[in-house]
Amino acid sequence: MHRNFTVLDFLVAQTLNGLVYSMLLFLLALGLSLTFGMLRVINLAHGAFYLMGAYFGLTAWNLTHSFWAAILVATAGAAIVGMLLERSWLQRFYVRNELDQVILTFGFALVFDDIMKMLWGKDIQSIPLPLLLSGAVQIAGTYFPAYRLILVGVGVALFVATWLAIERTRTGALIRASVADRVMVSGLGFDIRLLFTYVFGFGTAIAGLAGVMGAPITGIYPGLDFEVLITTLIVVVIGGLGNISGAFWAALLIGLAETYGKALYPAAASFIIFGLMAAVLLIRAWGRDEEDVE
Amino acid sequence: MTMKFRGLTRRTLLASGTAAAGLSLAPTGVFSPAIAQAKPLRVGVLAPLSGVYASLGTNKINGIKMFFNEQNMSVAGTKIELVIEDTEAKPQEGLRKARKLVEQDNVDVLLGVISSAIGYGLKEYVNRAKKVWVTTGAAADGIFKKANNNPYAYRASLSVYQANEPMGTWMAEKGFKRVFVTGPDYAMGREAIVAFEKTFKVKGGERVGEVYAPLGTNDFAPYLTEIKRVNPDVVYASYAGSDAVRFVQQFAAFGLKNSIKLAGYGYLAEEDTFEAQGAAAVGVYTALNWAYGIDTPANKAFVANYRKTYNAIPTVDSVAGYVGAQVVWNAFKKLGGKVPDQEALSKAVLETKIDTPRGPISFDPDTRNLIQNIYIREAVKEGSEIHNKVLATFEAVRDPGV
Amino acid sequence: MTVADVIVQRRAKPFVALRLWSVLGLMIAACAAAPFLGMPQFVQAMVIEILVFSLLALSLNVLLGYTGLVSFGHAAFFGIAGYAVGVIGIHISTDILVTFPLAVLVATICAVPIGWLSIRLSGFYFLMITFAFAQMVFVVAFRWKPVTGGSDGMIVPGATLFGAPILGSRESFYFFVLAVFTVCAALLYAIVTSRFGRTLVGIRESTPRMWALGYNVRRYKLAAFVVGATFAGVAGALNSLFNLFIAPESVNWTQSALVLVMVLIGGAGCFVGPIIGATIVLLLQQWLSSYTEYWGLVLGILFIVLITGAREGIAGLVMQGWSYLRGKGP
Repeated sequence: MHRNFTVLDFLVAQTLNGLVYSMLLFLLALGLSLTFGMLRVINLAHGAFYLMGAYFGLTAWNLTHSFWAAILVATAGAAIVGMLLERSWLQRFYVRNELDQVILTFGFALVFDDIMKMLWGKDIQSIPLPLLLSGAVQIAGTYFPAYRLILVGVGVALFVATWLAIERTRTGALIRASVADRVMVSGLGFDIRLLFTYVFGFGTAIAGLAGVMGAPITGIYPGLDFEVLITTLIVVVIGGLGNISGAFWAALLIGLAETYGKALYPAAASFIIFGLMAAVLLIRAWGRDEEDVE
Repeated sequence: MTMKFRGLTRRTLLASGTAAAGLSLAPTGVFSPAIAQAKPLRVGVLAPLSGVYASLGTNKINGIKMFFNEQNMSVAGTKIELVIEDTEAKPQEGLRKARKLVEQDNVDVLLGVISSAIGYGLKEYVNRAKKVWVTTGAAADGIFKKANNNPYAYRASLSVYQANEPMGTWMAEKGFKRVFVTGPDYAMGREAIVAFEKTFKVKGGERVGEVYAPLGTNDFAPYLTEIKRVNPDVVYASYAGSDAVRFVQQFAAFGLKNSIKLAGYGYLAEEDTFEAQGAAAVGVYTALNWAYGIDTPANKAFVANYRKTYNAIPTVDSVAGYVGAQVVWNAFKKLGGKVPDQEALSKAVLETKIDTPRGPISFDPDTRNLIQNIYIREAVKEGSEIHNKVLATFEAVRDPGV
Repeated sequence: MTVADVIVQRRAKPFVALRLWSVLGLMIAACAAAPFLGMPQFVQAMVIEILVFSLLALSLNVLLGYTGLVSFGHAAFFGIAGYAVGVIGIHISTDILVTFPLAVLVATICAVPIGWLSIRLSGFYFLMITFAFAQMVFVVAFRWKPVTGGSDGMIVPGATLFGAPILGSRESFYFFVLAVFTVCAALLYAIVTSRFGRTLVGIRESTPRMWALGYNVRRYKLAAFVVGATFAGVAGALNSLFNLFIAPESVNWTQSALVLVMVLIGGAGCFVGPIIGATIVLLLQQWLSSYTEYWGLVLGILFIVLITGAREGIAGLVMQGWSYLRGKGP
């Protein structure tokens, strides 16, 4: 397969790379954005749930050698821990200001971090892909791992599914209503607290899912949680906190920008990303007097 | 804003809060064990036990402890104590812990450190504090050069240059002509490539592409696509740690392994990355100052003992710790189990000429780097495990020090 | 007596100043006497670090506690001054009368554009933009090898005065830091208790009201930002001269997080809170990591406990305890 690599090949290959990376970013950002949008809670332990999902998946894989089991256990595990956290502690913090939530969740992130180190050790680990998913596909004169294409599919599917669930179902309507007017909805007899627990659990479940699905690409090791958190925060901030389709487009923007950046100007890549975040924040703020919004 | 009195909750939290505050204000310091008959020799060990390099630090400590335990924690009748401190791989913390070991714990020698950033700062400090320091890591070329040679700092690990330079010669002689170089975009990553290219080009090789990825890159896809486009004979990579795991995995996942050879600095394919890399690592050529498969009695004994003691596979960091401990112990032995002053210890260390699991070593007086063997290795499958096998040995390799 | 003063009346307690400074003064005097009473070198080093980080925490508190701006990029100015000391020392002069003020000036100058842009946002977005700018500084420190030494860090040449090396001994540096700290703490106290300081508190309490009262809120916020950055720069310069070394880690978000933690644990609402916080965090870090590698766990639990039960930090707990003991009730 040594045909000349044309400009079109380059564009196709790098765009595909960008899309895959974007989907991984989106999977991460979705949970965090959702939690903020619905519950107005900034969960800095989000990265920890990603890593948790990866570790749960690893253990499941070690026991069953089944990738599907790993995915299931990771998602369910992250959801359960998330819901427990929400029930036991987070609930009291809905009335507190953002900084308090940030500190609380950061504290939990540190705690989870060390607990995971105790349980799974410090070495770099990984989850091998099942034979079914580990092939490569020939696209535009170059090989492309099939697994990455699957990730794109999963990301898009999740976006559509979540959007539909929130915009078109009764539960979604309920969630939107509770965000707008919590008191009224609970006055109508709905158990708001349970709803919030489920939503938070859903957010962490997605983080766990992202963790186990991303594990074959990123690896699993202590410290990954904070690396992932930084990237996720950037995506979420650019997309707009609480804005799910915003998170999707922001993930696409950053994924493609970073991929093309790496291909064309590798040295400046990280600088550009942070600069982009600052720029987006400023552009958004320019129109209004932010200080008046409390 | 307002603090409503919540009865018991508030009071108990108040109590625990004050207790925590009080506890943390307690005098710091290690509770030193009772002084033995003859004053025991204290070895201060600095290693990252938390943070990014945590697993490397643990391996290093394992190697150090194993050696001293083999000697029954004593030399020439004197007991040896280890005081281990966590540097967290952060320079500020590393310096702080070094100060504690030297000024508060009064150690007789400092051993350790992995991060090169800490290495730079520490070398200056030991010169001011006049304390012998044998490092088991800190491989950056610039730390141990002729220009900044001082009588207290010794490097018992290797320099990045030392490991990569022979690789250039070997790869060129093997017939590879067109190389694409890549590595993490910081000092170590770049230094490795510079060293490799120097000898590779001298022997007629040519660089057809280069790309440096930010440290901690998750996705190498854009670079791999570029590599595929250029289509070199071989890719030389200086990644380490999680970067190495990902690069090697993704290199194989993108199908590049079928047509392009992968080679690199030893950390690209080492005993600590094989578990995660799996089959993707098989066949990768690397160079380093040790290999699991070195066929000498010393190494075989080391590997067997390590596996038995820790139920884990030894890595280059384990051996680095072990050898560092050997150097210190042999210097102590030469002085008869007493350290009259740091100058005497320094002289004893300088004269080191011992055999280790890595082969024979000695110190180069011009730079206080080691003169040691460099091994060209290939990752091969041995049963259900993957290990590095030795393909070639370059003996008595020295860092030029300029 | 402006309306702002009336709004924040309860902060203007006349006796607090006296009590505060008698306690602080006593501690400073104790520190000054200690070396003569045989304080070991190592403990001197620890006190130096505590003073440096207390100053850094105090500087952050101008933004956090007094103006209500939670910055996640404060380490940037600490690091900029730290690097400046090294760069100036290598290329221009190692004379401390040159390096020290210039380094702080560099930090101040950098704070102006960064602050001017950042204060247009508030709350979580302010947090994120200060984080973004700080990370950009980090990337520059990490990559710009010829100037900053890159990822390996940079050796800082020792200070000299008119050609002769000074501050070479631990003790001399100790007194130097103590002196600088005392002066800066006094300056900071004067700033936050002045009309300017009370305006900042007014901005924190209710920004729309301050706008309505005719204050140019943006200008005050920028001033607070720059003041905070300047004193962070002083701390950074001191730190660099002490370690005679600086690495990119000093500019990283982990360092910003550490300072934030110090202020919050100590108590952002009180002047000495940050000093208490810096002391506790440094001692805890030192002491804990000698005993366990899982000190992150302990720190995390500390956060959770404090934020749940002791919102105003240790200082807040102490003040509560004080008023409780005096029978006033919590």
